[in-house]
Amino acid sequence: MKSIKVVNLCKSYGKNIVLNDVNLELNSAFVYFLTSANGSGKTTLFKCLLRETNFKGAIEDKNIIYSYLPDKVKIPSYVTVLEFLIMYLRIDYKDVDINIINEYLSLFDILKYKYRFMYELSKGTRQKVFIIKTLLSNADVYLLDEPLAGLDYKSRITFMMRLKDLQEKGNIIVIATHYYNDYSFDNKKVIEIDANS
Amino acid sequence: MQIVKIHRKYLINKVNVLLFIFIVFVEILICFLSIKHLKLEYNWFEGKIAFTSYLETNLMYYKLVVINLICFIWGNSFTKNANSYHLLVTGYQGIKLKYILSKLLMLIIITISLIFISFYLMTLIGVLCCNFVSINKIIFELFINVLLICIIYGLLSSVFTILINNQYACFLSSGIFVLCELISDSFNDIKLFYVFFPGLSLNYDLCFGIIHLLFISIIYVFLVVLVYLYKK
Repeated sequence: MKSIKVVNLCKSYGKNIVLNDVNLELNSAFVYFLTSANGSGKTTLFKCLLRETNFKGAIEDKNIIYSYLPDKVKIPSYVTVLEFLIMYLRIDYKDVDINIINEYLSLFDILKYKYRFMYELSKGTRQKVFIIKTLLSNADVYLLDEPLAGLDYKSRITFMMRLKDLQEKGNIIVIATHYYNDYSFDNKKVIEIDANS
Repeated sequence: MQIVKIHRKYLINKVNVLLFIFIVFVEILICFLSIKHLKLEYNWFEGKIAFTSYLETNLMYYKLVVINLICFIWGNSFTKNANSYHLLVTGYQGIKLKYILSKLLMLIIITISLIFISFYLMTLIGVLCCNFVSINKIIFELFINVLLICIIYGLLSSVFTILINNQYACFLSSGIFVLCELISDSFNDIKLFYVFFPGLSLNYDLCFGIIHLLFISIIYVFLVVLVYLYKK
C-alpha cells in the first residue's frame, strides 16, 4: 500500500507560523479532508508535499508521483480544451488515448466544448477541465484544493465516483475544503490543521 | 520535450504576440525611413558610410525599444500569475529543474525568432531598396551581438522578477542597460561594469567580444536556475 509520512513539519512565512509540528500518515485506506479556517495552511501543506516551498521537518514519499488540482491557475491564450488535456497528459503518457478524454468530457457534460478555447469557458466548465486533467494523470497521490467549487450537482456525483475508483486502485486522495460534509465517502478522515496546536 | 511545448502554448499569448508584431512593424518602418533619409544624404560612392549609418539607426532602435520589450517578455513570464501553471506539472520529484530549463529554452527560442526576423527584414529591405546595403560579416556579427545582449538582459530581468515577485521588476534590468549605455559616453574607463552588464555597439567598445557575451549568458542561466530553485 502506498503511503506518505509527514514528520514534525513546520512552515512559517517570516514571523507568521502557518504549520506547526504537523505529523501525518496518509494511505489509500481513507479519503483525507484537510479543513481549517482561511489562511491556516491547507494549501501550504500541499505546497510542502509538492516541494513548492521550503519547510522544516521531513516528508517520507520516495518515488511518489503527485497530481495537484490548484484553486487558481493561469490558462494559455490559444489552446482548445482537447489540446489542453492532451498537452498535459503527454507528460504522463507517451500515447494519449483520445477516447478516454472523450469519455471523461462526456461524463462531465462538456464534450461540446472540446474545440473551444480555454479562455472562452465559464468558471465551472474550466474547473471541470482541470478536474479531468487531474483525474487522468498517472499519479499515486491526488491533492485537490476545493475541487467542487463551481461544479454542478451531476458533475459532483461523477467526480466523487471517479475518486472512489482511484482510491480503490490504491491511490491516496487528499482534499482541502471547508465543506467536507458535501462529500459522500464511507471512509473519510477529517484532519483539522491549526498552527497553534 | 513536452514541457517545452507547454511553455510555448503559454508564452505565445496575446500580449507577446502583439509585442512581436509591434517590434517587427516598427523595424520595417525604421528601415524605410532610414533608407529614405540616407538616399538624400549620401551619394553612391559614400556607400560604406551610408551602410554604417543604416546599421547605427537600426541599432538605436534595438537599444531604445527592442531590448526593453524583450526584458518585459522575459520578466513578465516569471510573475506569480504567469508562472502559476507550474503547479500543473509539479508532481514529479526533480521536475522543477526540467521546468525552468525548458522555460528558458523556450524564451531563448522566442528571442532568436524575433531578432532573426528583425534582422532578416532589415537586410532584405536594405538590399532591395538601396545599393549600399549588402549581406556581409558585419550584419552577422551585429545579429549575434544584439541577440546575446537581449538574452543577457532578458535573463537578468527574469532574476529580478523571481526575486522581487513583481511585474515591474523587469524594468530594473532595462534600467541597468540604459545606465550602462549612458555611462559609456561619460566614463569610458569603467570596464569592469561591462563585464557583467555589457553594452551594445558596432565597434564592440562596450564588451569584450562574442565569447564574453556567451560566457555571461551561461552565467546568467545558472543564476536564474539557482534563484528559481532556491526562492521556493
